[in-house]
Amino acid sequence: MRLTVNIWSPLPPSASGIADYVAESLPALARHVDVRLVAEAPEAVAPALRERWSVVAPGAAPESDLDLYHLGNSPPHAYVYRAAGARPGVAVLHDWSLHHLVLRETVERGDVGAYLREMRRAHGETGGFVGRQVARGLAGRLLPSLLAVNDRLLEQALGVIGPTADIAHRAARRLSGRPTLELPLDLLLPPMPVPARDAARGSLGLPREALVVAVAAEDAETARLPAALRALARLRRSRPSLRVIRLGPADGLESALLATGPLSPASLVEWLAAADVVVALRFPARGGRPEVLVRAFEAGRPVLVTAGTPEAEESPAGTVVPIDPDHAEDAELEGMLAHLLDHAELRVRVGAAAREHLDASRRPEVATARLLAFLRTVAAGKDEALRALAADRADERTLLGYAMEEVRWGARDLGLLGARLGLEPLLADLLGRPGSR
Amino acid sequence: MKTVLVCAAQAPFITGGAEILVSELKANLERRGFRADVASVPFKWYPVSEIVRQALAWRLLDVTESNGTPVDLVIPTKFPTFLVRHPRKVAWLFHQHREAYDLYGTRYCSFTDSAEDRQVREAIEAMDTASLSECRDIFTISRNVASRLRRYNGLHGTPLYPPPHHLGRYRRDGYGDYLFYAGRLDRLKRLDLAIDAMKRVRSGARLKIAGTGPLEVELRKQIHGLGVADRVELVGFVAADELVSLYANCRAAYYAPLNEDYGYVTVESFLSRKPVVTTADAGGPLEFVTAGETGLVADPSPEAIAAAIDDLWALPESRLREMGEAGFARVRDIGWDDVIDKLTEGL
Repeated sequence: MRLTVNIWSPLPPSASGIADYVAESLPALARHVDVRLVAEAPEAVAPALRERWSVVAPGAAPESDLDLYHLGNSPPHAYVYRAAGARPGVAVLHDWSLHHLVLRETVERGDVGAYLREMRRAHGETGGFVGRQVARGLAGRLLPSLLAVNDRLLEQALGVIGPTADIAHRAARRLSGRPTLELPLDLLLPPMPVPARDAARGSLGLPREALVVAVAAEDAETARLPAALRALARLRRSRPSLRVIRLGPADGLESALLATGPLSPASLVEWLAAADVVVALRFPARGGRPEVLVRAFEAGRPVLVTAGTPEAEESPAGTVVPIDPDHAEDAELEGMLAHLLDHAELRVRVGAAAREHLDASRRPEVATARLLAFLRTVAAGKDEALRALAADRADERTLLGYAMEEVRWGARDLGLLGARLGLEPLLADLLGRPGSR
Repeated sequence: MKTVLVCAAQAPFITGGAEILVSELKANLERRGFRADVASVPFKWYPVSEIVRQALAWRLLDVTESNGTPVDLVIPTKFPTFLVRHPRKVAWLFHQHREAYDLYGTRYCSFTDSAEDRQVREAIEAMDTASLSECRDIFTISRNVASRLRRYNGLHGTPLYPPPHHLGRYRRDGYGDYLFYAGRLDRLKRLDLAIDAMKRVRSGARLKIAGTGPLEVELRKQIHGLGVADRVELVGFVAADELVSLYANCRAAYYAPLNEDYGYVTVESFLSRKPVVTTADAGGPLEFVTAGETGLVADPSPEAIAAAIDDLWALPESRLREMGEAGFARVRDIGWDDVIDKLTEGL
């Protein structure tokens, strides 16, 4: 049977990197399932997509065999988050943490109380404490990233797809008994033609003899751009030909920096092909591998990544260069970049290893088949899963629902997110009577 | 042999009147031939957001039997122990979580007016009403506690006074020159009022305060700040013999807490045949103290309390004896047999 699937995701030209992923992976998926796209503002979606696919607004999303929710930790995913809570489906967790998204949905809309409730619900007393610090603007960036605030989403999911082993394993631990799939979504991306280095430079107006470092930095702070720029400024003193390209927006961080602005996949590949080394740091973050990494592998360029991230942990040794995001980050970055810039043969070797790894692991047809099998499994068990979700669950706006959540927190904290606790019979006679709100 | 489980909520490492009462209840149940034990679950009442979660732990327990032996009766004592489920539940209510009831909105309450705290309060009231309704009988340690239960939860409770710890040892040696208080030094006992009053007395009365508690440092500062160190003495913790002796030799007891549940001080003082100085809003003590008969009742202000103390000091010893005897008559029947009989009736 051919499934009908609603795909909820930001779409190009959205600022979310996930939008490109989804758009590029659609053709492979659509060969096997009937796809409908659900976008927050269909009229803003790239015309090429609208011409080819049915794009509807959330309120007009029709019934389907499954809803597939692409979730990242950024505002463009807010409508997806809301829908996933209201209409259970398969969640693709591009980021493990949804903290900034929840923050945006609550505090930035003026409802601090809702944020504190979500933090407490997900992380107990610690969550409440951190939430108060975050709400006062005292928590910095690291603290929020440690508390994922994703329980509500996970609880409502019929299944979860993790684009990295880290996310998939975390989801499997939290969602005992519910289907989870580890599927690096970059494996679904169709290969792009890669121009030769000199051709790319000619096209982009970059001198052939220059050393070029491309820094992927959509968000300057998360991408560690200040640290990278400090290291590169020191390197430029002894290497006057060094050019630094920011793959991302221009925001006046440094005059010597050339910023590309938004890039299509083909343009991204061209810039990467023109570079000698790619810097793709991010911290704190625990999301899927960014597209720039896959495209840099495709271009055969060495990539410096942040140690501890999936791109460092889940890439074979020798295919990426990990940099610790600690106090010595600048110095380590400077040392590694200098070594790579001064040793062309090393750059070629690392780039070739990355390319080889990608070629060996990227099997779009296999990845699509795995995804399809997963969706079919979830669809087959959908009715039963929905019944199970409805059972042992009371409206949180009632005192009974509130009390059940208070007790359930203990189970969630032990990793028993989906466990049936049989709470309602125990608590309903205390708080479940009509009018006990 | 029937089995009885007493349910206690305790803040670990803190022992107060409630813990002593639970322990004596167990001992007296055993004395009367029951197999008794105490189930104690730690309780943390702060921050406010933690209360419901902590309380619900009691609802998840199965205490109907233990290792194959049926539990014939459970006796919950204070919040949140009465959330426990059992077909034969007889509550002896020490107190509810007063911050959600009579203390709500006062300076003694940590609840804010936030939606979250209001929800906690609402949940406490709903849980209390439902779980206490499951009881076969509800006894309360005082009329005051029963009255709150009726007012806030619409439930009837029968007062059943607990005997003080040193029952049978209290005596009268004479009527000395000091007022006496024994108990925890916390804000609700309002010892600050008494110390302030001592600045204003003209009769040469002295005040001895026995006990320890979180307000000790603050009270010491107040005593020195007001310059009454010559007439107010914090004697700290005292052992049983000394406690009985301090009661035996005082002129009267001072006890003016805010809407106290019960108050051992009154009963201990009367058993020592001494009058009690209290206030019109003291709650439990007013079940025993009648102005002019068994003690003096002042408005809760330093001036009024000072005046009452001066009045008491002006009385001849014969009058103090009369008041002491009248007080004694009111409490002499308080005893453990009556408590055990009522709690286990029909078992």
